[in-house]
Amino acid sequence: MSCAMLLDMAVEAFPNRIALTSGSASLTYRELQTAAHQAAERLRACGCRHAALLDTNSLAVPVLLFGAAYAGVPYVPLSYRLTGRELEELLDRLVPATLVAADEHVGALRIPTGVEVLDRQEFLAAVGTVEPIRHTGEYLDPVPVRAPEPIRRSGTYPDPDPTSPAIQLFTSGTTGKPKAAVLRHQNVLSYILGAVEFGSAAETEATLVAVPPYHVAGIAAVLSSTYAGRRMVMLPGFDAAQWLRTCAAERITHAFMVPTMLARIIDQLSGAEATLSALRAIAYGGGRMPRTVIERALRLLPAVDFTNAYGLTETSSTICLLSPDEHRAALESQDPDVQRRLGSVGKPLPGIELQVRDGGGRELGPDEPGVIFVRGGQVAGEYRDSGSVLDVDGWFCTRDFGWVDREGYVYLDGRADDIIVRGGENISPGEIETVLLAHPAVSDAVAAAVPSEEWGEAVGAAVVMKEGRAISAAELQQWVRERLRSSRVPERILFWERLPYNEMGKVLRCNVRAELSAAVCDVR
Amino acid sequence: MLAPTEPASTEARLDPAHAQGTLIGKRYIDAQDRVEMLCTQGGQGSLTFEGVVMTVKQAKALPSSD
Repeated sequence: MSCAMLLDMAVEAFPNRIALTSGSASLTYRELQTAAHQAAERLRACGCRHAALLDTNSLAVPVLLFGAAYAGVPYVPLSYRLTGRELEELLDRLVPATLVAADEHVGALRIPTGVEVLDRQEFLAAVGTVEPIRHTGEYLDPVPVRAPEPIRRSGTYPDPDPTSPAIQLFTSGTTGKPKAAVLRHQNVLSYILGAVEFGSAAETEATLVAVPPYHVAGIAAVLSSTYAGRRMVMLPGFDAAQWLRTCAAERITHAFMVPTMLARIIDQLSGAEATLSALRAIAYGGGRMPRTVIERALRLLPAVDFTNAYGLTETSSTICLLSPDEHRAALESQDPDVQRRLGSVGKPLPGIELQVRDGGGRELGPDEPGVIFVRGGQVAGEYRDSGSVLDVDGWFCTRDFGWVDREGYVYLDGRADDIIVRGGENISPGEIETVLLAHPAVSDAVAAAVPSEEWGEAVGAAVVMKEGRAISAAELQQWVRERLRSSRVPERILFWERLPYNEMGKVLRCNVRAELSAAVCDVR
Repeated sequence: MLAPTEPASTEARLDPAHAQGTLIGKRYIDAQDRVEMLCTQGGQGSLTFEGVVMTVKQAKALPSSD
């Protein structure tokens, strides 16, 4: 049993339905399966141990993902945002491998011996999907690609062992060097079979895949859309205007996005809501959603169902979700406890157990903040170099800080690694950031630990001013002092033009911390 | 028992008591919820456990989160 089963079932039930669209090309489920079989033949023939990808979203993404499953080798999508040196280091760890890549990402790299590079077009030609068939006139009624006759007849594809690795993902590394997270077929299947109803999508539904293929949400999008029977429309990169145009042209009904993407779309939206007339559902996750953004989105798009999905690479994507009804209830309620839920990540999925523990490992009660632990079939909690990090009872430490309220809603409050320990007191940067952001002159803010001779660690902050506004560090310190305990007042505040974010909209705290610490040491 | 000269029937017949059909993508459970099966290829026959026909498990639909 492997991820390939999801595609086999889709082919069994709706072979001629359009599975995916990329630019002007589309493939049916049967065509996708044929292409993935061909990819598997190719991967087997070269004897590789990893099927790597260094590319933006295209037809090649699902073909290689399923092809790797048929061939029984892990699929390893790499981030094209990494530096050449970082990518070369990762490739060294993947030998022997086949790498499907776009020229612009691979051109300048030193390719290690044992890595076979296939240009994306070359790869798509080899699996028989290359010539995109034009949509004839009417863009909304795609004409399926007629794949050329297969190069070889598809052989048999022995079902990989469900305990074998399906996917290897290098985690984003906002806290250090990238680690290779391993997801086994059984983990990924446990998530999909638990969260998605087979064939539940209508043939008219289409989901816009705008997250990069190397993010766990990009993988989940391919697998869950296939199992639901929902057409995937692959977007090579995110740009709000392009996203809106594609939404209209392809009659997109579903989309997933990270908070930064939603904020940009909302900014572009004023007056263009009509272009989203087909849109029914937006799921978001991958970072903290500002309350102002989600409130605006809910008011601007009242007909759209919003779902907050919280998950990690190591948990095969979503582990908690806040449903559309819960969003609407929170927006309309006068009860502060219900209103607050707009800032919650909802409740654990049926297959997930969740606990909050203190530093000593004791399970905490409702409303008590601590570190979040999860357990369940989809929780992989494993890295290639260090093996399983699950405890003896199968619990995984998410390193996310948070609490569960009396109704069972889960709230997140930053990463445990980001906690500032000042003289033995644990301080969450989140509460300081919330207060800084509430100041009318502040547009962005991050708090992080800085070294302190007196306290071990103290609070530092990097702040971005709104255009045309100016304020002194002393005034901001006073602002915090009036609202929080004195230990929370940043000892050092730096004013920056912008904060460093990765492409998924996560602030690179590691970098902020390093620069703040360097600034503090300079002063001394 | 068939006589050695008698041709064996090559046609298997579906017992009407086990002909409710099995649908692809549905999960089937026994009455006591001890066994759960996922149908990956549909057919006319029914699934049984200890001689009793299994029923479709109704799962609460979750909103799409991807």
